[in-house]
Amino acid sequence: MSQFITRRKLLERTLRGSIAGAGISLALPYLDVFLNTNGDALAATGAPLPRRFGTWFFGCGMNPDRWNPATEGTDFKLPPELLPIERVRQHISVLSGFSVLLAGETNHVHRTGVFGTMTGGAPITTTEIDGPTLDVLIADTIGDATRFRSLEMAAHGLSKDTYSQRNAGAPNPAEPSPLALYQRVFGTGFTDPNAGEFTPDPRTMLRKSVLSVVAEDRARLESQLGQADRARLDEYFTALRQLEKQLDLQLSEPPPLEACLPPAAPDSPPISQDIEHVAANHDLMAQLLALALACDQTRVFNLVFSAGASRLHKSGSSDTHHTLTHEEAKDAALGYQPQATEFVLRSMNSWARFVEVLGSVREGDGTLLDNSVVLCHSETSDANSHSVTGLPIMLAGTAGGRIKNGLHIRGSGESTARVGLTLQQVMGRKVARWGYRANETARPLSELLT
Amino acid sequence: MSELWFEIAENPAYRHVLLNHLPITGLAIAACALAWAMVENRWRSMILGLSLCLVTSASAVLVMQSGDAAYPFIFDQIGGTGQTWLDHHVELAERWGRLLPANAVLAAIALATGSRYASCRRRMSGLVLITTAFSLAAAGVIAQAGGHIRHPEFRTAHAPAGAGTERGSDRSAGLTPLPAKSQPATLAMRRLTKAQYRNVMSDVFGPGIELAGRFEPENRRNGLIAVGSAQATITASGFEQYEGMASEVARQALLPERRKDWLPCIPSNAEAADPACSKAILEEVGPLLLRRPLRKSEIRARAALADQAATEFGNFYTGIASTLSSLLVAPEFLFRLESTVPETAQTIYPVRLSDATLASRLSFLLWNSGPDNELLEAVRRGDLHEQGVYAKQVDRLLSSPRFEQGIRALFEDIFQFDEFENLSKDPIRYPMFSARVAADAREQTLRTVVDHLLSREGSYLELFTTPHTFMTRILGPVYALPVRTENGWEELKFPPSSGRGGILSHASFNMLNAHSGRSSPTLRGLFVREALLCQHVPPAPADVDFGLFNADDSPEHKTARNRLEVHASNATCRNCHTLTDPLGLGLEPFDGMGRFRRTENDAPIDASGDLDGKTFRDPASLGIAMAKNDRVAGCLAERTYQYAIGRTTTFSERAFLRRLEDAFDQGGHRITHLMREIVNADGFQRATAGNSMPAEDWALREGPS
Repeated sequence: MSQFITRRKLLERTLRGSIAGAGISLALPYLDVFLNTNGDALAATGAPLPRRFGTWFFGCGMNPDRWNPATEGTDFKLPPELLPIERVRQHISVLSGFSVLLAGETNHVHRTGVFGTMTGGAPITTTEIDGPTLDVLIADTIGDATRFRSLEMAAHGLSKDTYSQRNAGAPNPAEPSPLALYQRVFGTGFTDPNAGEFTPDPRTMLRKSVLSVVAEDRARLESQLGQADRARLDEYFTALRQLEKQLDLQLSEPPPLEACLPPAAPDSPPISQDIEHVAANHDLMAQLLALALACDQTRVFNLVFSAGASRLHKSGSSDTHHTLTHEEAKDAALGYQPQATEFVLRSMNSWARFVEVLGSVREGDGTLLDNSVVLCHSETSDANSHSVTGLPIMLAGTAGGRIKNGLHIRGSGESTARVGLTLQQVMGRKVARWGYRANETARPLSELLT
Repeated sequence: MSELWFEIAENPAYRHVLLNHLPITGLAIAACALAWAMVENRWRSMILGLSLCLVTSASAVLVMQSGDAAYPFIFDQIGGTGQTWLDHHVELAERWGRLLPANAVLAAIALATGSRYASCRRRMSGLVLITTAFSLAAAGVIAQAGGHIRHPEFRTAHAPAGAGTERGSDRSAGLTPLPAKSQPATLAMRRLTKAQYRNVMSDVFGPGIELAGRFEPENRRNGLIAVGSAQATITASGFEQYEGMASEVARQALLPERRKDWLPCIPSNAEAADPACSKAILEEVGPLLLRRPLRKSEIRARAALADQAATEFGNFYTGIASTLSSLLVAPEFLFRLESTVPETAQTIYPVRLSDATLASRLSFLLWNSGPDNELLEAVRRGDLHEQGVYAKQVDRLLSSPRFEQGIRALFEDIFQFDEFENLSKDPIRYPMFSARVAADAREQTLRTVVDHLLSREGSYLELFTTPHTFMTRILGPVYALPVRTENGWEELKFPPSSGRGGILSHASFNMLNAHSGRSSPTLRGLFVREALLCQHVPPAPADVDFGLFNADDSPEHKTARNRLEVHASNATCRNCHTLTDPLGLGLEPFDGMGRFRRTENDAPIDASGDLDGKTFRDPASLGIAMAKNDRVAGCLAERTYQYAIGRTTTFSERAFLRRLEDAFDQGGHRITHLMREIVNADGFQRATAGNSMPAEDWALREGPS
């Protein structure tokens, strides 16, 4: 054991160097000492490796005829705007031609597409958004065992636009910088599962007592409130209960996790909408998230690379990605908007990087990515016309061998709710139908399942 | 078919649209039939013509009834100009619509007399034909205004100004209450904003407490965070932050140098529990944090927590810290819960708010902070709602220096200054921009507002023209003005040559309502329309053909005015952009961070235009046009009222809003006058429906248990 600790400390130091630096790639070695002979379970507890679900969002879509692969199946040729994912394509399935079906609802620009995919219903107004988002439903199923029910991150630095919410009155706010993400996960309250000795902090007990005094008011307050406000108070008490569970976890010794190597605090690049800053922040967030997952601090996450109607811009430019999609002239020879399209390529590049980072963490006989499934999506296909038809969607990771990677499936105009339903079922949520109104569906994507 | 029947039976708007052709097209046909019958001079034809006139004119009654019933639903669904047209439509209908039933009665008389006396048949028919022609004209005029409500493509003229002013008050008198489902809750449960949290901390524990943590993103609805906060919830990650923040506040509040200022007692032994002292502390700060007196049981439970923790950790202050935390994460601290008491009266607001709720409404509106001890004392006595006590408290709050804090919060909300937190500019295009510049620009406008409205007791309208402002040295280069004061603020007047005048020419609005690398007439116009004129500008349709747009980098379109030409020439764009662009182009002499310029890409900037009929040629005269615009004052009155009550107003409150606007006009647009009107309004002190908790008798020595 002592030999292991020395080795671990050593690795930790290497890792600290890499994260604190410019955010160079992680190559996390794995320590098989914690695995059983099959290599697929945690030796200490015998529990299977956790499964994770996440979303990765980028704003302002793509150019459909340059993004959608021409043929279905496995051996499809990557079209120009998907070329950046070449190096990880074996870990990704591309879903083209899935749409948010409007069926009479207004297309609320830059909102209908993203909330349609996340809730399974085209929003009625910009604030009347259907039920909880996909990630919240999945977190309700698998999020209880970890310290955080879910983690939200915004590489573009704005907390508000996470597209994750239980109801429209409160988006789950995102960590706006790598440093904030680090402090939330690895700051106060983090217990290193591999630390060896464990002593519960008596202050944690005290915090629990504080919360239980507060919880006593619940019945009295609820009797004062109307239905809508009671639901809001319920959400407050759900949040309080979640923190109580988090404290409980901190009071018991965590099972050791082989891939968990707590990092040192990262240096954050400036927070702005400059594409270079966003990409650099994104890479740091991806690495911190990979470690948070490896340390089993959460099993659900939402990472927003750029918000819908993306305000990302190049240094010195008077245009943003969003204004370019509307105002830039199509290049007659190329047939698309060259400057706007550059942002599509940058987004795809960062997505590939994200997949690479999750794939670099060894876990069991596979990687963290193998035990996860990440939904990559955007709020439009062609951003110039705000189209919600044929949205760009990708799934990375096999969710522990349950989903096929490397495929291209064409949806021919069917609802994106089919993707959401499939993901919920894969993540163990007992649900046969999902979605609202025209988008409601009972048909998962069986061709995607193993 | 059953769906059609359902629509007809259940939807008055549908009935209205279905039937409104009868009194117009139908009546026109009836008139032709009657005219032909008179030429023919046959009584049987006249009977047909007169009957048609009778039926089609009488159908106007059904049309007007269904229109009346549809009004509130339609009003709530449409925005800005549509609402004005709707009011105009109703006003015309009320003035001229009576002609039609009168015509029906006349036709009936003609039929009755004609069947008995053959001699008067022709004369009576002729009379009906004439009145029918008038009725037809009236119906046409009413319908023309009606067509503009939902069809922006018909709106070639400006919306009639001030339409419906009288109508509002007539209508509310005999108004039937709205169906329960469209009745919004009149009691709010508002999440404390970041500024309110900070103000309460400073009131209770002294200034300078650092709030270490991230607040939930604010939720803006109908132009106000004050309204959105009544729909906002607390998420799991948000609660985590509140909990961390609470223990950090408690730690800072209990630092030896700070605690001596607010703790009411010193423990006999700092290393053990002191039940008497912890109880005294709770009685002191508990009501200030929960904004009401505490029940005996609550004090007991929280004192027990403190004493237990003090014993366990051998530290009195650890115990107090934990009990402070328990107050700071309590739902009654993080949310402002409103309640009523069962005391009813025959008004549209039948129930009275509890004294505790009234105290909070007052202090948050006027101070943007919780009630102080004196207000809480009135709650404890149970007499805050009594007129004399209430009036005295209102006077006290309005004359307190903290009133400035309340006014700042109001205008920060209306001006959407919370967006400064997300503001960034491209450093290559705007090397002068920095977080300091942005913070000072924001503060400059707020200082100008407070100075003008409170210190000078100026009119709100003059805010748009006043040259008086404040400047720091770091803002000097942005305004190209010399600032003598090295540190801090200096009062100065914009010289006429600066091209500035009024708050719309401040850097704050112009940097906030722009892109990261350039100005935006559309965003600026949108802000003025929605935030300052309370108009709703519909979002762009999703399928706009942007191919028409003149790109920023095209050499022949040097100025924003050239580039935005398509908005004015294309019919789809024009509907909404005619509201935003001409107005925003008046601010084009300010670049994306608010610096003055005369040219863009070496082409001179033409900043002339007109605002709802008032012409302007530059930002300063745009300010004058704003000050003369008859929506500006009413908009502030409406927004401030909604800010005070934490919700949007309902149809039944429109008459009150008109009165409020009149009172604001008569008071010379003084903000203090407006605030006084609002806090004395029934809608502020009472509610339409409540949770009617039995009034608690706080006056008992230790409160109810």
